[in-house]
Amino acid sequence: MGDDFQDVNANEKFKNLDKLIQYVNLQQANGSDVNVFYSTPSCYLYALNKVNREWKSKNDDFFPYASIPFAYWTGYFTSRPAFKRYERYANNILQVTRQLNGFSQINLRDSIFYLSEAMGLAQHHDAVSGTEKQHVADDYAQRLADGIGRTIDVINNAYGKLLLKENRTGPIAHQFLCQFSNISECLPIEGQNEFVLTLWNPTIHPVTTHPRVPVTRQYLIYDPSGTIIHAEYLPIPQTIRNIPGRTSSAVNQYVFQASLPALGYNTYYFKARNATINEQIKESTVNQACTLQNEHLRVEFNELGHLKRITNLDKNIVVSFTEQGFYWYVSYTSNPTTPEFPSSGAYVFRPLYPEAFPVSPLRQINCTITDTVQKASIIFNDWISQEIHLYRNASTLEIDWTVGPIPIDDNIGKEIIIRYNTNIDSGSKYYTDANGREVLERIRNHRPTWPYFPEVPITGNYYPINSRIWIRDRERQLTILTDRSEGGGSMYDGSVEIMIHRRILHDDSMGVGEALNETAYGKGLVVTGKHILIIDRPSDSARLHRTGAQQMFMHPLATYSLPNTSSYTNYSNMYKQSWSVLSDAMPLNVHLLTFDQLNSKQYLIRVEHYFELNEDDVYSQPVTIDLQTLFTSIGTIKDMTELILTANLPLSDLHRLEWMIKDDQSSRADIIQQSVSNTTSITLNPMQIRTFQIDIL
Amino acid sequence: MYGITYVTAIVLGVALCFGAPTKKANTCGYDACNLGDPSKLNVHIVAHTHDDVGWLKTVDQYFYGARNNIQHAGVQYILDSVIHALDQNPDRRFIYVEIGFFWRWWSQQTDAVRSKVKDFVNSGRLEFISGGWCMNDEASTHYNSIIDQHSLGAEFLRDQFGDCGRPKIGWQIDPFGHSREQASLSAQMGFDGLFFGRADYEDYQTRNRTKTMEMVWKASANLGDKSWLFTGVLPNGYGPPDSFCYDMFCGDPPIMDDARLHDYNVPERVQTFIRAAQNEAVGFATNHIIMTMGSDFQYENANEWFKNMDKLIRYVNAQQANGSNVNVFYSTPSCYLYALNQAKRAWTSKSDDFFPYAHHPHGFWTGYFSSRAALKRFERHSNNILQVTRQLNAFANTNLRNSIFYLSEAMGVAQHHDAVSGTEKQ
Repeated sequence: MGDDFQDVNANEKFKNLDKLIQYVNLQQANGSDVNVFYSTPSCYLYALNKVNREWKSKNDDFFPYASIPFAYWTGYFTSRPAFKRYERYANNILQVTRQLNGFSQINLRDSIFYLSEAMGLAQHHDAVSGTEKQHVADDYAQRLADGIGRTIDVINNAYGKLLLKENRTGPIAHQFLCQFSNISECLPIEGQNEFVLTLWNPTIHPVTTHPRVPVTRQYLIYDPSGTIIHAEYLPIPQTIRNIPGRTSSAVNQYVFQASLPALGYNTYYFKARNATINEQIKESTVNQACTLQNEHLRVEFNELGHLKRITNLDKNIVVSFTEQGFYWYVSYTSNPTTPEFPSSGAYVFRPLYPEAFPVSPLRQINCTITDTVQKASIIFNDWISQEIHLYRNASTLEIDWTVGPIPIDDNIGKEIIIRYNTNIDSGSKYYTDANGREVLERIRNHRPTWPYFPEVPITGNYYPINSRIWIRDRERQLTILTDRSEGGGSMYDGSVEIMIHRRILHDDSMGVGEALNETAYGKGLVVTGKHILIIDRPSDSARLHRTGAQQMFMHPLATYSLPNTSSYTNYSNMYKQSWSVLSDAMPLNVHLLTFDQLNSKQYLIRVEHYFELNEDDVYSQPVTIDLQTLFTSIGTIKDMTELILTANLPLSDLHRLEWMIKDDQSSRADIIQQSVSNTTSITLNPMQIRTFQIDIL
Repeated sequence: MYGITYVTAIVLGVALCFGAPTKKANTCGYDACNLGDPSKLNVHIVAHTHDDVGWLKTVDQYFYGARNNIQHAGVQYILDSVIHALDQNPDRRFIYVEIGFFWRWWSQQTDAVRSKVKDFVNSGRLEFISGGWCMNDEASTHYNSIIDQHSLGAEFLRDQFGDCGRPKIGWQIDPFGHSREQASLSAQMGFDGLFFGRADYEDYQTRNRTKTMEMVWKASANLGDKSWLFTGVLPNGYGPPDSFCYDMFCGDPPIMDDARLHDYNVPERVQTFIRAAQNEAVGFATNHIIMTMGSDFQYENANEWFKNMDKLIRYVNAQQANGSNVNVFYSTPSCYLYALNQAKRAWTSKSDDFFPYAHHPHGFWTGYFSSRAALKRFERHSNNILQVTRQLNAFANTNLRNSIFYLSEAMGVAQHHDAVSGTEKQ
């Protein structure tokens, strides 16, 4: 008995409900069998539980949602892609900040609250979903920005303890974020004689990453061991430099390979060169067929700029592409738009035609080969481009796309997809993840639990792609990892399409009352993003997409500083340039989900097994770790209590209701007390998250 | 049962004994007034709702809040909500005017609620103003029926609330033109003053310019000073100053006073209010001004009004430490009037009336003098029957007054300024 923002005058509701209940129940004296009373969801559920009947079970999900024919709420999977990415970026900083606070034991959790709170708001179903009004989206983003701003203090206090060498004291150089790195802009380091890049790896495994540092001078780069490393000095793509709002004068960037220790940091010291030198681009082609190839992958393009083939050299697997590129759907315009007959909008994806059009008939391709990275830059038109990167020794391929400003001078709303058409014999099946974790099988034009007669061919086959989508046949699997939530699916056998940006001129009348027409700097909003492509055998794909997705989600956090030490020697005398929390390697299938210092001697941690059952021969097995390993730098674990996921109840105190289902199975949870012994070793089963409150001596 | 009655009687007796000589035990009436600070501009905040006993909806539709598709208005919820809000903070005050509605509400209340309401009345936190069955029209009503409808309300208030429930102020905030006889009757009903909202726009401008918004109305050519009535034209009609409406029907900014949250607006709101008070004071004669905080069928969510006014009062008065001369507090029309009375100044007088009313050069509200001619006659016909029935009942000594109540009540409702005036929906 309520609805959105009702009960401002609760008395109006209760006064009449009081009377209604009284008068309805009075009719029982006249034989009515209706008995009405105030209750709660818990009491209703408990009543159902007490009925002691067998219930039907279900193991798929409730996506996609259609409210009526032609109104599939699948547009919001992609709506406001810039905010969807910003939310991930903010979370990356939140998790790193918690770790830095915890491992440096500075007990500044209160300063992290602002970002935690902003992230809490951002999870709302009209926030990260993209279905809020523009001014509200701006406010959500501002809150995240404010929260990030407050974490700078935590980051500096933490590094103040972690960076200084023993017996060194004094304030460290201020650490700052370069938050415009996504458009290759970092004004505070421009023109500096020296600066330091510090990269914190928040995963518990060593990672290799490829920082891109936009510069206005040339530099020598010292790695933590003092070795001058090999870095590529490459032009910043014109497509990035053209993005509205970019004020940097940097036209070049360094790209280098950084191998970071598990759960720790490396620093990279940049010292300006006295003289500029010509950098060593091995090979560069314009509008010619070209091949990117490293130890693991070969990626072939034809002279028209089309991706033709990807070969996994280790497994001798070839996937041919009939097409890879950008298309757009015409947004349906209903006049007038009504809930019964909606336009495409923030919630609803409703294409006018059941097919998407290529964004351009021709494209330009420019390939660049260097030691560290080989890339194909493909420009489709003056508002869409992609850069395909193959890094030295990488097993995956990275696609950086830039879309916008989406033109609307034809008064047509446009919904942009990236499509990968392959010769993989995938039939009608495809696979998408739920909230970055488990993966569900999808079957085109099919619903697992009811007879489905698709009235439209496209939008009803869209599913949320929170972190990954794949198609496969017996031998080959193409997995695509996303850097944010997007919508998509497989509309044709062998094809994957992912919607990456939307600019729509009408409201879909589902509530927000505004057209999804995002602008910035007086133009349509430009959005950049990343897809990671994995070509492997189905049985070998999990270890790449599980680790790859986790590394993208918990990316190394780059902070910069201007040390004023005037020489690398001085700098290296002062600072520890590499440090890891861990002295022992951790199993690959374990992820440190949360590391949060509650007070000076108490921590909240969550560890998880992030592989599913049966997706990998090795890593889908249970795994045992010693939590003390995580606390080596902090102290000895005195006491640990396993909690439920939300950390608000000891697991041993949890008693959930029992339900019976049709096949006589009971839902009774087997709460196995896996750590009843007084050791700090725990075992994790596939996809299990365990939460602990840890007290330190 | 007897025991309880006995104890109650003793308590009442004690209270009366102590209260009788000075009337101080009851803190209602002028004794309960905050008269402000003589060195400051005193802003009397009068929280009120204006509830037509029939206009776009019928009196009972308004009472229950039915047919909200026509107009969202439910008087039962207004009174529920106001009583709850008064309970939250003893500084808060509220006035209620239309006894036709209050009677409907009162008859559905529990003893506990009635007792609480009596406490509020006895401590001046809830004050009945005007106290007629309705806020009667002034152009098309006959004096006989004006007296009857006021008497109907006054009798109810006397029976339920005693002396603290006796109205002392006329409150004709919405009627469209004001008659001299109404003022004269008000004086004879024992009222100390009259406030109204609508005056001819040129009259209003002149009075505002010459600080004669308030005056003594010589309301009878025959009765001398027995008919004199202090009369005030309200600022802003009967609504709040611009941007300070905190009703659920309004869109004005609430006081956002947690600096940790976005859109913190206390300094801006305080300065805007102080400016509004000073602007208003320009047209008025003393260092007391009134702000009518409310409007048609407002206070259904009284908390929204009071929560923001509590904060506004606190933050505006806090500026006195920084030299502000604005002193704002909850008050009532009686207390405002009493403060003017205590100013001991000589007021201008007036001996004509406020007809016809024009709100702009081509907007003379003179049609309603004749609108719904049939109803206007039927109202007179009904009154004729009412008076005759009363006589028959009395001379025959049948003691059937309760059976006449229905017509008395209907006549009370019919005196409303959107009833016999002819300005209601069909």
